Amino acid sequence: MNDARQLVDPTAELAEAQRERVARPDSIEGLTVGLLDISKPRGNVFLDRLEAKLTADGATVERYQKPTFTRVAPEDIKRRISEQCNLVIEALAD
Amino acid sequence: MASTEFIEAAEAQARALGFNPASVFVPHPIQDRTDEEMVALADNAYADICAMVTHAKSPA
Repeated sequence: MNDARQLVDPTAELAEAQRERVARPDSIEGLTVGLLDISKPRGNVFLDRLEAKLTADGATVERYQKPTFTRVAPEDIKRRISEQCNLVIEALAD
Repeated sequence: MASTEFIEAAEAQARALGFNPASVFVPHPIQDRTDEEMVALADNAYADICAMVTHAKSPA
């Protein structure tokens, strides 16, 4: 039996809007790099190491953490990152 | 940053959202790794991360 169904897209989006990344700097030296921990296990160990290496290479590191990996980052965290950081590295999904 | 299990999902999400983040993938799995293994993953990925966020070239 052929049961035809109509799928309606409520966004009415014919083509997704494309967003570009910000321009990349020449190096991280002198920049503030945000490290956003998505709160999956072991990610903090990975980010601790990145923080050490980034700091050794001349960056200032700010750390942030999502309350849970099951949801997007809260607006407050996103706002603080955008205000405080030149770059952000988000980790670690598995 | 994600493990290799996320490669396809990341590509699909990038297309759907119209934004392609600079992605670096590390070997899966993650959650049962020791601290030493996690440090090694970070060390091995560091150059690629820097290449993604700056104009620095990733090592061959």
